[in-house]
Amino acid sequence: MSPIPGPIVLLALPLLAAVLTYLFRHLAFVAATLAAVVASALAFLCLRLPLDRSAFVLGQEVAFGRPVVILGQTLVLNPAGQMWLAYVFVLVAVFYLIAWRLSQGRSFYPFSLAILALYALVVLVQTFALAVLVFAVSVAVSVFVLQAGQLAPIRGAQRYLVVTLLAVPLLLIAGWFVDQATLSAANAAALAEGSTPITPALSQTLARRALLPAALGFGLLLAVFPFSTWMPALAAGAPPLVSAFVFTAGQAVALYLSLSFLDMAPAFLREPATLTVIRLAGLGMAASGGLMAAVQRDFGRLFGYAVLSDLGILFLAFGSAGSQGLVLGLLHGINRSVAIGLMAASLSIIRHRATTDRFAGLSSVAGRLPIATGGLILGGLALAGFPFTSGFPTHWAVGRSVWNWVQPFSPLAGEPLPGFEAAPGQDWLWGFALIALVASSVGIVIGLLRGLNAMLGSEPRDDIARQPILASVMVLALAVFTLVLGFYPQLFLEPASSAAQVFSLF
Amino acid sequence: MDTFAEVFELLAGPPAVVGLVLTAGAIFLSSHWRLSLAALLVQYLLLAIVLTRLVQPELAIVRGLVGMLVVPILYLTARRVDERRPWLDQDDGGIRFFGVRLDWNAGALSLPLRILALLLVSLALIRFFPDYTALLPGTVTGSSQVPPDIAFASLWLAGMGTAGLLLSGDALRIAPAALTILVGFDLIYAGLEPNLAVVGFFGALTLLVSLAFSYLAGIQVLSGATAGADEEATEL
Repeated sequence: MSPIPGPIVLLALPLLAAVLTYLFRHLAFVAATLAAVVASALAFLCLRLPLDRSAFVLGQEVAFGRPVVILGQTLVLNPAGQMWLAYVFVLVAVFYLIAWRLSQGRSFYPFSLAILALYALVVLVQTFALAVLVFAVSVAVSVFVLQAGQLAPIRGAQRYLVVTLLAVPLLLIAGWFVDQATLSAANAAALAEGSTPITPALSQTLARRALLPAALGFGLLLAVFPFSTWMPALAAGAPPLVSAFVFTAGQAVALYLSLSFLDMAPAFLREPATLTVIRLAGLGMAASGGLMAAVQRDFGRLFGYAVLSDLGILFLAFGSAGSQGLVLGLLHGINRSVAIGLMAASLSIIRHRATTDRFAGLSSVAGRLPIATGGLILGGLALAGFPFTSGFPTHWAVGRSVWNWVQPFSPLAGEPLPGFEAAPGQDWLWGFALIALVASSVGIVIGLLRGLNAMLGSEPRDDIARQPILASVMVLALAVFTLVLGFYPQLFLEPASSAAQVFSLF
Repeated sequence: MDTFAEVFELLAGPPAVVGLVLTAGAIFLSSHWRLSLAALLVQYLLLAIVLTRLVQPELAIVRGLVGMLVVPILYLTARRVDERRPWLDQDDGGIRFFGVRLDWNAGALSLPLRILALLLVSLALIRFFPDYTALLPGTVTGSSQVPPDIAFASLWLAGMGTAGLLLSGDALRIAPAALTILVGFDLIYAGLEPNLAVVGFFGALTLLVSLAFSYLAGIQVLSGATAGADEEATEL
């Protein structure tokens, strides 16, 4: 009997589980367990199975790296995709367990499993255009989970869908240009030198033409400032764990698409403007997210702006940390997932018990729901990069690298660095970076303190049920993990380095 | 047969392109779902007709069929929404044309502003059309040049769709605007990408997007809310 190809396992298992969880959607325990087991099993397979040979799983031979051709498309798992999917599956398995005690809507399990299958397809397909379309399809499906049948404002889900739709044409065109440039370069290599003098120039022109649509498309897809308004709107209206699913797994797949594109067109990173644009976008997101977080009146939006600000830090990691930028960015991506999960789980408890997350309605809730309140604040602090939390080490490293970048622009700088001359009129960059880094941390902390202040009080809140035991235990576990990552930030350094080495962009 | 082919060839030329331009304008201006969905249906038919100039007829028909499926999905939702929102059709004494309110009191984002926006977008498109054609893929490679009329129609559809997205908050108005952008893009991209899987997924995406917007429209009317600029302004 021939071994089962890995792509079939990665697509069929979540789809099969989606059908089963849909049938058992009224039985939360069964649906959650099934979903968590399948996601964990897929994560285990991604982490353990080799790509270069087959292995036996429960007596069945599985060839994880073996390509499959479906409808003329070759589906194959590469090492980078393997790491990415392992991260997504582990993360989602944790979300499923939490969702068992804190319902995120009955549609969460079946639809999110279907979305996981689509994410796997994004990673497996070799055609960039197809990957972009599959990702857009996954976003369209996610609208149903985001709304979860609630009569809540639709703005977040609608904006998420629209922004992704706007990105699709831009990315398809950018992908086409890069494909043509690659073909053109291949033709030039195949022909004798000098016989087609125009072809290399044409290849460069095509690649340059891809720059603007690619920048705009990925800007939209990755919620780069100013295309990020959907994030706080989503966090305000959607169930918290579903928002966390989009902010972590969804954006990780969008990031994978971006890195795949850069892998296809490495010349983009050699453009001096590219890294500057990434840095400025990161600074803009960090600053705007932090400043807006400080003035919110509900925890949902505060959560959204904190995640947005932290996403800016992720961009800064990619753009400012030189050759180690990708490793730092990926490490930050993993660490922030824990903080986002903690904040989302805590927020779920508060919304379930207090029926609101507006500061005005949370008086004396801290005393009634201490673990959820603590988890919410700790998660927020981690997103702000507060010391002793999971966010601190990477925030610190990013802050240092940004500082090194902007220091020559500073009016306080002494002698210019050898070989470096700040262009006139760029002094603002130093001030902007300083404000952005301070605002990204201080703004979130101010917002959290305002929220905490609203939650304090001594009057009894008998209308609020006591904190759920199992859900609180899960929040406690995430909180401990957040603190552990603060002390041992290198815990996920190896997988981040491995994933970065596969791309080797910088 | 030759006569039919000649007539079809003629139709696929300027008349269909003009039709695309008009339908996009109608979708942008109309606040009435019946008119905008009818225009969307015609737009998909015209897309299929125009695309016969660029791709195999079978692939063009697939695009038309997708439109045939998309419009009923939105139509059924709009009917249900209409039943739940009877006040929309109440006669308030305003001047109407095909159900579209024409008077100046028709709301901040209604017809007068939309006409103004249409004029501004038209001027912008005329100004930037030469730059746009220079950016098109065919002009770089020298192969499969996009005809200027199709290039203009695609830019017009993208412009109208984007303006519609910016000015609308209602899911049932956003949906035709977003689909108009996709139609405009398809006019250019169909001739470039021969991969059938891409064509299939593009169709699937269009269908799912219409389903998602239908779902959102249903939720929106059940919750009695109108997302978008007006609601946001109130919050601020």
